[in-house]
Amino acid sequence: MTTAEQPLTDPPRLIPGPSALGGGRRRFWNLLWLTSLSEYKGRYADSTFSYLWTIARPLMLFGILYLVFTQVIRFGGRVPNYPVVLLLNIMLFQFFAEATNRSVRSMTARGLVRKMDIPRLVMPLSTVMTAGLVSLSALLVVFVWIIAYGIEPMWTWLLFPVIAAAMVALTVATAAFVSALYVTHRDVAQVWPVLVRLLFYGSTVIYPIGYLPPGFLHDVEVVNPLSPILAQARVWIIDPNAPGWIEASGSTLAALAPLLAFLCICLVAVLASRRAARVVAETL
Amino acid sequence: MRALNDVSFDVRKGEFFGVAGRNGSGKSTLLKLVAGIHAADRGTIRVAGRVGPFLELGVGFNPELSARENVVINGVMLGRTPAEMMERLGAVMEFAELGDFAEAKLKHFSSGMRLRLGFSVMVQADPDVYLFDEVMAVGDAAFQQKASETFLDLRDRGKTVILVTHSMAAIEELCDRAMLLEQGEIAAIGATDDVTARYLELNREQAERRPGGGIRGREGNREVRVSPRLRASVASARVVGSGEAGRVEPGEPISLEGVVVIERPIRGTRLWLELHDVHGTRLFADSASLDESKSDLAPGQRLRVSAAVENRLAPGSYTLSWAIMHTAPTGDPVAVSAIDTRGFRVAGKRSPRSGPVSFRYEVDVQSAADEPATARR
Repeated sequence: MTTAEQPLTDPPRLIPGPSALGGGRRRFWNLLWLTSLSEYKGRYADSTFSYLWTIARPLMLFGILYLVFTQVIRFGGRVPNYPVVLLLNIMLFQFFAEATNRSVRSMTARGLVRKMDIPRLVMPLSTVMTAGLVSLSALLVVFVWIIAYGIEPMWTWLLFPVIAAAMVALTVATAAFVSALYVTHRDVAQVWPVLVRLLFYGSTVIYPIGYLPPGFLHDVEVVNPLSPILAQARVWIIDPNAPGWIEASGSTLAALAPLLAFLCICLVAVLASRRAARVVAETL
Repeated sequence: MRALNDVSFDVRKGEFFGVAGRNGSGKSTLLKLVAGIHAADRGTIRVAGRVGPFLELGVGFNPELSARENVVINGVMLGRTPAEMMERLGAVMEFAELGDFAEAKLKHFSSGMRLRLGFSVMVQADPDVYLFDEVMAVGDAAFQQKASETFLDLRDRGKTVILVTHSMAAIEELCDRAMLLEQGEIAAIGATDDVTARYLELNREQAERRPGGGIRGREGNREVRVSPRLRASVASARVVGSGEAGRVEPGEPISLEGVVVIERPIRGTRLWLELHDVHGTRLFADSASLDESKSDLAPGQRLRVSAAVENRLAPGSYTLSWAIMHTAPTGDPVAVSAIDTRGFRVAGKRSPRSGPVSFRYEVDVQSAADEPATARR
């Protein structure tokens, strides 16, 4: 007879407590995908109208801004292809605004973190992913509009994934940061929508690069990571003759300011979400 | 503020481990640490295998999603894959007795249905280590029954379970070992008897220390008060049977042996006794005159007190509380020593349905035509 001790099937694993990404990569992706998909379906399952609204709302916003900037403030008429540029910009910006605004309260939503060990970043990331799913269909409308307007398809359209990737990276970092900051500073919920407005006007959403006179808004535009993304989108998707970001910035060094800003956001996002992940369950 | 301090323990594979403690003693915090919901400021926790928590606040369902979606998401949180959970969906819904409602949104479920679903997902996800917090305190009788059966099943299947509960009955009936937490520290750990007895003592002591009123017990229909001016103190006390202290064989008299030191003169001395079961139900209370009561008791005098109570108790844990009383000028009984409480155990395996007392009885069955056939017990 052998008297060997029964071996444990798994070696004991350290329980480190809640974290931003922990619990296994596969579990993280499964959770992220499932929560995004069900949130997306949940939001639009009730009626096809609510789905149409997600496309109609930015279209209506576009309509208003178009009227204002072509008929009241008449600079729109001087910008080539203004209607398509404006719509593309609004749709791209809307993704950022929607995703980050919704992510602010995501980590504390439904007190979930008090009930289950869930990697904390799943929550802001799933709001980004849900907003991304919504934007995919909105983009279809934009491209239909672009073609209907008379823009010829260009090979640079193939570079759209680069724009999308930059947009997603910026949105993910920002969403992670604001949701983590909200855990300890509930004022974020009040302040963030206002800051999003500032980024809207302090970027190239409604006017082309170089339009803003020197001043505060111009300074915001120069460091705003959204600006180069939108500028490049205009060049690659609509007008190859429009000035690119580097060209418009004057020097390569100045052109790197938004990248620096983006890296800063990434850094604070990592620091804040690591901290928030441990304490969020206790703040509820 | 520290919720837990210096709490180190091991639970072996296949063990059913009970955690008892009064409210605020740190039980739930402990489970949340093991479940990875909170982070410990210091110390380490190691678990072999997947952990399945079923905690006081529910399992985090999303009311806007269907039962099916919730089951899958919840299962993934418990470490399963979406495919595995889809495979088990039928079993989950069946175990939750919600067969036809897989596509219904959770917001249309009653709280009882949600409770059953949460419990079912957790059990069907089949973790290696189960964590239950106060499952005995929620749900209706049918759910309680289901939970009890599940516990017995997990026990039979050799699952590792940590059960937080206020029910000493559950600890005695289910657990292999137990731990008692008091103010974030381990007050007792090991054999379930020791833990339940210590828990009952703590609870009685706490009840007696409760401020205001001063109503402590009952004698006949009169409440017993503890005098604010104590006249005697208990130097030592124990409950004994024929064997070790704190343990009595069924039917063997419950003997109390105590030593009391008199601090101020007492006239008309009585001994007051009270017996409680594991649920805190008072089973018996009375007082008896002591022999010395004919004369006054003088300060400094030591009394050896002994009492033997007839034992009709079923196996399980109980407490015996006692105090020295005198008769106040008003004629009311007033305790003049602090009430002393001792936990003890009547040996044998407790059966949940037998009740706290054990009576002798006879049955007599006879056919109207035949001779009587008598069974005696």
